[in-house]
Amino acid sequence: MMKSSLKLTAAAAVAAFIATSDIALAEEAGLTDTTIKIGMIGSLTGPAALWGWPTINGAKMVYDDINANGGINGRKIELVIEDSQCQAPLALAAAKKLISRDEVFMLHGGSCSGAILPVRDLVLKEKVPMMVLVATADEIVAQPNGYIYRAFLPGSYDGEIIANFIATSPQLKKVVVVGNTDAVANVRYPKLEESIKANNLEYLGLEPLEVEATDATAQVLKVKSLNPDAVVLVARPEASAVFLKDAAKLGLDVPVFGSTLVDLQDLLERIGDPKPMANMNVVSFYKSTLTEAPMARWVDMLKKYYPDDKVQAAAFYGTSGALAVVEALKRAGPDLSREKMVQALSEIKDMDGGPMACSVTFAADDHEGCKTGSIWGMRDGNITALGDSWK
Amino acid sequence: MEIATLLSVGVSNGCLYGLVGLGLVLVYNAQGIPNFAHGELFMASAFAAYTANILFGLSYALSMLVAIVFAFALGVVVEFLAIRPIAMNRSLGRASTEVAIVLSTVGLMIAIKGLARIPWGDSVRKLPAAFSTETISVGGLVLSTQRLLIIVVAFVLTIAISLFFSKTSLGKKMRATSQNTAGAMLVGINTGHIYSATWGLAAICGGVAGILAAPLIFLYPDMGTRMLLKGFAAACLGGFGSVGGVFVGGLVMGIVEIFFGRYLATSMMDIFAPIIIIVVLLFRPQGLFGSRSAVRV
Amino acid sequence: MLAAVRSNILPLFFVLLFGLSFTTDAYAQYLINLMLVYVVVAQGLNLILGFAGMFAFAHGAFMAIGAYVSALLMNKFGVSYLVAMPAAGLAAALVGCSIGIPAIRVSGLYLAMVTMGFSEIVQWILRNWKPVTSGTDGISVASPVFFGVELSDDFQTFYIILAVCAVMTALAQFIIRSRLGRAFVAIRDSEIAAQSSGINVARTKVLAFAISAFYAGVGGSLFSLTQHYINPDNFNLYQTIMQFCMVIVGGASSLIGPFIGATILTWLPELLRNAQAFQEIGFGLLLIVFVIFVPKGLAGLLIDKGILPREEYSSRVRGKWVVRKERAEGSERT
Repeated sequence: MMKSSLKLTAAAAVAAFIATSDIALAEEAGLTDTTIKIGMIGSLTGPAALWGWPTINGAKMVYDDINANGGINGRKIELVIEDSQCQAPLALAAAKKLISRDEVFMLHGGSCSGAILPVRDLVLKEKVPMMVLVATADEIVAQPNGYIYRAFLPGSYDGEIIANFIATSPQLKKVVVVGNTDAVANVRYPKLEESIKANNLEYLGLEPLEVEATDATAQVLKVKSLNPDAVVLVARPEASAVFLKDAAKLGLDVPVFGSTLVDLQDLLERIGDPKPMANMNVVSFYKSTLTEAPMARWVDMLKKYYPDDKVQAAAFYGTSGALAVVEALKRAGPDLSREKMVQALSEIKDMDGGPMACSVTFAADDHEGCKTGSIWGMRDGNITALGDSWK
Repeated sequence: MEIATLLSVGVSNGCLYGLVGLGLVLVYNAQGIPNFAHGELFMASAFAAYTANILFGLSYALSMLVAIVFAFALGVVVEFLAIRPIAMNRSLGRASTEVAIVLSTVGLMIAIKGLARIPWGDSVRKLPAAFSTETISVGGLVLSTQRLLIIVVAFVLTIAISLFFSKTSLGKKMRATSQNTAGAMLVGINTGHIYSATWGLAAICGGVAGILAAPLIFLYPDMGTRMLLKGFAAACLGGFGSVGGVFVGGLVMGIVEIFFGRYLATSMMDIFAPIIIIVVLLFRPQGLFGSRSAVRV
Repeated sequence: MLAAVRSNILPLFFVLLFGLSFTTDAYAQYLINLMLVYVVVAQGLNLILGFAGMFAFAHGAFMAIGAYVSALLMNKFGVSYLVAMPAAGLAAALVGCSIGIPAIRVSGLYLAMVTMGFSEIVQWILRNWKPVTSGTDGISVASPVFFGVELSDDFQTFYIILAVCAVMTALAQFIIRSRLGRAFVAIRDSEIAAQSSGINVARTKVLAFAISAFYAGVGGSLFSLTQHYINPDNFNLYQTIMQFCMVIVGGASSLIGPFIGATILTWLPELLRNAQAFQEIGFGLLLIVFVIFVPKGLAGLLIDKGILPREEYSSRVRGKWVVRKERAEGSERT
């Protein structure tokens, strides 16, 4: 009996081996003379699908455009796109599949910080270059890290921008923070609080707001009772809209400063009434509103390659990352390798951030390429860019 | 003034919780199970109203009607396809049957959510409020017209359902079935129809809450999950018993929640509902009112 | 030979996986590890849901407790994984007891709501007790070290996971065949009859809770090894629902059921990576369809067709657990 079961096991093992042994052992994974294989991971389905295809396509259009113009050093970019559903086990499975099965040259992915953090260890261990798609947690890119880069404003930075901006108005002294307490909001609070205090403003504390809040009466009244000069709102669009509507209704009329979690245009569409937003300012990733000249090139590109996609703020989060990847691939030359790619990325200095209100600069020991954002405000009922000089 | 404002919002939220809780209680009394798919009935009805009003351009009132009919139909269909086959399967023991039905509602919960994601997963949507004037001011107190509507509708619906159970023949049959299924069958009541009617009615309760809440929040496939917990809390406070009890349970939940948030800790508002569920079920399973043998619906 | 395969299907399964580990790539090995973790968790859920017939909505939370306890013991106190893992199971069992003791006071399906509320509260604590759990930032999990060798990649952790899974399976088999296991089934089938035949219903129910939570806790600890990083989102409602699917699809109240369920529900989504929009719908429908049409799950189906042997709930175990040999009529499902 023992013998026969062993025989069976051996047979099965051999069968399995044959099935998986067609993996080619190329010199450098994901490269041929005519192609570069890049793996993308995004939350394409599930609750976070809002940040799925729109951000993927905003990056993909750059690669499409490069391919349409002949590729890079004779190679065209080939994409393998996998879903993470914003869940860590699936994101990890996707990364392992891309690295060990599809054998991609590099990764461009991550739309949920919590889901992509486990991928960080893997990528560093396997020495695969990775550009972060849209996940904002600082820890993903933090040092020591030889392989992961990010080319848009990381989550903790908008707090500093907001605090610096508030400090330019001398009549604003006391600041209260209202916001969600999920992962994407939480990454912003420590630096926000620190920057508020660093600017000699009085920090009145954080009032939590449910992500799925249907009502913010309790929060608004509590904030009112603290009598602040300004409110910093670190909430997702739905909760932000609920808070702003209730604030207007209950007569809380101090200036509100939003994080990069919301976009003014999008918020205006949701609320459908500029009145609750009369005092609103928001940190933005972008150089200008989607309807103005600096964004025209990217809006046109999206319309060209993805005519069915909605032209929305979320569409261009991943664009600057793709631009940096393309730039580094060009610099690394035809004799490409992963190490050369990483080196080329680290050498990028003052590259135009495309739609982003920053110039992308990497260094060997600093992989956060984009550290500035702009501020937009509602002025006389119109969305107005107020500049990008607050870091 | 602040107290009055909090009270007005707490009461209207409480009315929503009460309506959702009422739907849960109806199903619980008929089949002895918590319906985990109830939040999805709430969500689906809101999207039905959105589809009728925004996509097909029907008038607001007609859209509401369409959504209510849709909710009823969805409740009946769900019961027929996913619940009845298990309830009618006599080969299982009672405990096993109940566990199987609960699992089926859990399956429905994520299946309906997944279905809703296909057309609506990409963005959140907005349903306009019932009245074009959004707020009115009464003696300095700013009230939302939508919230007033919620209070009126919830009140009327609760009374209507109470009357339905005490006056109409179908209502009496439903009560009889929930008290003694075998006995009801013996006297010739078609219990299958009764279960259909119960689920339809329960879905209407959830659906009306969804339609009324939609203009205050936004429409997205996950909107039902939080509401389910709050409805459970309302039903627990009401002791899973009378129609009025659930309504009051909802009000208590809504009011206590908002005052708690305002004066103690907004961070605790998130887990207020589960705490109420646990505390009430463990220490006072009969709810706030009445004895264990309170008259069931 | 076929008969030998049939009657030793689980040992063969382990041997096969062991053999496969020499040929797989990292991706397949990761999925095999994840699958074995889910086997452990599903076995625990099966004990309470399938055998004892109690509807507990809390196994995501028990798993979280296990994962966090073992990670924190290793990270903060430098405890060896050999100690941290059983400690994780015991911690979950302790919490399972403390929720189980009051929960048996509420009848049948109130339990579903109490346990669901409990899960929400555990989630809230994980998100808000920042000094300990790091909140939504999550915590990285150190690789276990055995005799100076760090087991960091999937191929190395596989051996730990495989061994633990085998031990837990043997334990499950022992429990199922013991007097305790028969008490579970008796309570499920009729609480009154169980009581009148001298079973201490309350104590048995609390034990079911504790043992089941122990499995989830150990499973959570193993899960943290596969991820190297844990955060509260890993253990949300979706996690618990997936475990329900595993138990129901595989076959509740069957020892082999969790193996079938965990295998299918780990691999199917990966094979259907391109159709993930339908995954939630698929899970939901699977659950409904199996509950209605295949209440004994695939294991029950295969047993009825004679492909798998009937499972014996009696035992050759000696000592105070000796029970008379009987064919498992108790395998009639929930």
